[in-house]
Amino acid sequence: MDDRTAKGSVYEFSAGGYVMVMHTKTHQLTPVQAITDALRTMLEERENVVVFGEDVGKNGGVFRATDGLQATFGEKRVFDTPLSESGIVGTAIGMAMNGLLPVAEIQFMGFIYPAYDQIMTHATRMRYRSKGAFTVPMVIRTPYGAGVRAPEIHSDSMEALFTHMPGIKVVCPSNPYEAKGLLIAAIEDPDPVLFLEPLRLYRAFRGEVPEGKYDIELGKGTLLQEGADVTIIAWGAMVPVVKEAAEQAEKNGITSDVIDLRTLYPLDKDIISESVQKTGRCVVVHEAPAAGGLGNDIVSLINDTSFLYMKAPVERVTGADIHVPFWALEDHNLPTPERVMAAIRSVIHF
Amino acid sequence: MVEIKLHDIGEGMTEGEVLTYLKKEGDHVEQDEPIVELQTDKMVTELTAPVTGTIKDIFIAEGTTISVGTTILTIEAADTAPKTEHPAGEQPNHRMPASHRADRQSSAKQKPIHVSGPKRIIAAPYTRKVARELGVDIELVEGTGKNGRVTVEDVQMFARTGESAAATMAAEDATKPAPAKEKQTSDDKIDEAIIPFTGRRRQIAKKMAQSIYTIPHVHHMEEMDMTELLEIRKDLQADVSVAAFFVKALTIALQDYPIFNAQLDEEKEVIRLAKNVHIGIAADTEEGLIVPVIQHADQKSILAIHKEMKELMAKARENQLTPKEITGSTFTVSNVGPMGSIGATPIINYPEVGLMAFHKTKKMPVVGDNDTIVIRSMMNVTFTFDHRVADGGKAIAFTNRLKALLEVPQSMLIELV
Amino acid sequence: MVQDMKRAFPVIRIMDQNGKMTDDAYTDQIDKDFARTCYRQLVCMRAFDRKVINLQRQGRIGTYPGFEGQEAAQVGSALALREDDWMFPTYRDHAASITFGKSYNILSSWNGRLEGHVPPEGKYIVPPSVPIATQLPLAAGAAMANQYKESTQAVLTYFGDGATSEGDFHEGLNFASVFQAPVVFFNQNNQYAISVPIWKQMHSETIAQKSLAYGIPGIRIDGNDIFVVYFETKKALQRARSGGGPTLIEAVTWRYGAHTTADDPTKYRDQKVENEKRRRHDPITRLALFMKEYGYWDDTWAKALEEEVKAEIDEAVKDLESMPPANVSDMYDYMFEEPTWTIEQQKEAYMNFLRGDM
Repeated sequence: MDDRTAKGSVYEFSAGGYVMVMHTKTHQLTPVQAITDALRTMLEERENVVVFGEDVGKNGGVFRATDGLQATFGEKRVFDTPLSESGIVGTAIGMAMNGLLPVAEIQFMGFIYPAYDQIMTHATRMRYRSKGAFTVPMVIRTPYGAGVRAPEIHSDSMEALFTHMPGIKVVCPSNPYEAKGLLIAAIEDPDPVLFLEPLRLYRAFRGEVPEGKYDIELGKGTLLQEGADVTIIAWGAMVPVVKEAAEQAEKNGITSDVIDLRTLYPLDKDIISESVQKTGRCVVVHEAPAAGGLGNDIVSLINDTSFLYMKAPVERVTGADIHVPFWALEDHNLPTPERVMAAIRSVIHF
Repeated sequence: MVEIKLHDIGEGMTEGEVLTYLKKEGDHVEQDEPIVELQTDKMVTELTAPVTGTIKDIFIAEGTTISVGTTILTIEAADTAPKTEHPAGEQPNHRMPASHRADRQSSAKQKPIHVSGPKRIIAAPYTRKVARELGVDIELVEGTGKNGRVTVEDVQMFARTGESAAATMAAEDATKPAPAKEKQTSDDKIDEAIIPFTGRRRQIAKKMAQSIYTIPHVHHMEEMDMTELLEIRKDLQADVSVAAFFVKALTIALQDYPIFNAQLDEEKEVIRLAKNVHIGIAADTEEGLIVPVIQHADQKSILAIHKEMKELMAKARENQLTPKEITGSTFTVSNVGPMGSIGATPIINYPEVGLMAFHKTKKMPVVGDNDTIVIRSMMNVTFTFDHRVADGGKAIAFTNRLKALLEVPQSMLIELV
Repeated sequence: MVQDMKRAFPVIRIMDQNGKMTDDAYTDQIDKDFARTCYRQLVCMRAFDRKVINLQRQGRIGTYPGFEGQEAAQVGSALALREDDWMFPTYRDHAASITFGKSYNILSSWNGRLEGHVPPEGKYIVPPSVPIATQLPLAAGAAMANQYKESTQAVLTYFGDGATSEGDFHEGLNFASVFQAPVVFFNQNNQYAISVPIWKQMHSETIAQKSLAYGIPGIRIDGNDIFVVYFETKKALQRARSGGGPTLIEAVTWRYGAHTTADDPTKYRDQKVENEKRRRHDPITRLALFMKEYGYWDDTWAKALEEEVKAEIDEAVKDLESMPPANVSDMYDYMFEEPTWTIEQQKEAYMNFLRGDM
């Protein structure tokens, strides 16, 4: 087991219910507060952690994810940068190569593209092209996703651009507990991590978050709910959507395994294959476009690991191959519990 | 008709010259027999016939250079050629008719390119996995699912019963290999008696498998005190079987619990409650189980039910039931008591929701009202129901209602139509 | 305006093209040993460059970008670094890497070998950057980390004239200036970005003037005068170490040859003009003239040096050609500290395939 057990403080919510022995105090936090809590914890824990990006200092971030951190830790450790995505990521890489643990914020995922070059060219390649002489233990945090009526380009969900990229891990929490534990794990990871924050959930609900440091192992999904008939796979903002669909399905006598992937690269092969080998049916849900989407990787994984167990082809419920619509239409492109339910029906009645 | 084309037989060859034909139009060719000599930029080679048949048309003159993909000639394949076009005397044919037939068969088996490919088996991967695990050759299983899809149930049934597809085919076409399983059976145990698995037996098997593999069966058992009923029947001095009372009581209980007089439509995701109560009566006959139906049992008197039941049973024994008489039941009764039985786990008459089995009535010591032991006529019943449609609580309530009616038969009076 | 900028950023030199000192302030700081160290390294780097181009023509090495003509800019600046400083070179800066790292290891990278990117023990030489100007924000970041750690290590990054057109040039310089990061942006203005000449690259008269936009010191120097390169780089590094922030240095030089061994410069420029420039401005000729002028020259020494350099380079080539075959495992093993299961699985499958187990 990992060091969570050693500390005896936090166990995870798992399919069997809470197997949780909480020796530590917990707070009821929103997901965005859990992010702040993780940053605060790591700024305290590791003196080489630095937090920066556009408006993250005095303003505390446009979503208040870094609220109060500069006041506590000073401008040296929590600072505003020029409006310069490639510069933010490029300097973060240089810092990471030179002993710091930078946590850079890109204000919206739709603005990450100028930094794409830096991520693809240097962040993900440095360890390899120096044969391990230089490494990039860096985290890029960015809010992603639609559903909050944001202006154009503020709602992109392009995780697959990065899961396709060799050399970077991609993480996406769906609740406050995961947000903190995964962000801490990401900061401690020796390689670059893209940390996607579902902005639609930032303030959507509160959840129990333990005080102090704990982590959730990267590369491991979690089974939120156990069933027999179908496996539903989602992450981030789509998790509440699929949970609702699973509830509806249950009323129709269909029970579901609901998997929250949490890490998008590397995928948790075991949790997916074990579940679909049990249910023989699978629905994958993401808001990103279908073409080249992560859903396709999941279908491939199922094909590789579980082909003979499948009773029906895997259904994907995704955004269309279109840009996130201007917000008057954005809901039409976002997967809903009803669309997920239709997919569940279709795999059940195949 | 098989088209013979010039293929790329060298590396990246684009053309070739037709040198000499070794056959002429109308000639018979055997499969793999050379038909034409070709010159490519690298070599002289022979093109052979992919099928046995007759050279139909030759399109390219000798000495012509053609590009890859061009059709050189066509062959009328032997197994598609009308017999009249295949006179034995037209060409020297040294083969005996029997072997000639075998040859045709073998060429058919090799599935030449022009005929449709191997039989497409439509089956989900999981079904194939089950087939592999059960050692079933899925190609031999007849699909009963959507668009002829082979279902897990089909495979399981095939595995259990060695279902017909293979047997039938083996019988119809001796040249086709029988499935290994069948072969082994006849080789290893020659002295075993063979009962053809056909007709009603096969129907029953199919229906039972469909029911048991589709419906999650639950069996609820109860005992009923038949003393009062038997006494009333004696008092009536009429020729009315106990079973008629059972049926009548059931129709009453079913009206109170219509969920058991229903069927589940999974396709449309609805449960259909039947308007009428048509009771099927399981009849054991020489030919096998058959279930004649008492239509509108709820609207018939006990006597009428008795009479109808008697007639139907007689017809069943004579094997004279019409299709109409054995269809439309909404609930089935298995009155096994007269044959002797204290319990069973019956299979529901698919797609119904419930089945009631009445076991043997016998005198038993029973603890009476004042903790005295009294002798009563006791009967067990087993109520089997589809757990997808209803749960145990409902089933118990339903059975209790039936019990109340049969234990205090007078109570049925107030229900009379 | 144009004239103003040229006047504001004149090309500064310490020795002229005839090897005469133009600024006596440096006379004391240039002794015989230093002059000979500089000369040796210049000669050695030129011999190296020519040798590698020959190797390429013989099919013994892959595509190679030569640097002949730029030796003084690279060697002079590299010699100015403190041993523990950071260097972010580009793909044409092997003279700088070899001089700073005192190793020919980089050569193998042009033979497709990953090992060529591994810096000598204890040296902060980052693998050469291939996409233009992308290393500038990295250098700024590494410098910010030094600042954070209150280290006196400075960072030097190279880039060419074409790089000034890239967004990352701006983002790197802007970051460094906003945070006053200890980094020296060393531009080798070799006049050509492959085939596109500087006047098509930008409308500015100089590169050094771009420092004004960032409010940082900028200087334009003669990149073929190894002494001005050395002393101005040293000054800029010193400023960086002592909290004075970044500096932009434009070293005006010439790339005599092709962009790479796969390029033919006669297609886009008049090599006769280049040869004339070379005759008049060659950094090695100039230093030799200087040494003769100041009595640091010795024919016997020069002759012996030729032999010594040849032997050193032959040794480097021998090392290259005696490397064991590339290790297939390397391509999988440095993606993450711990390989992901996909990489592990893919590696295993391929290794089995190689062993014929498939």
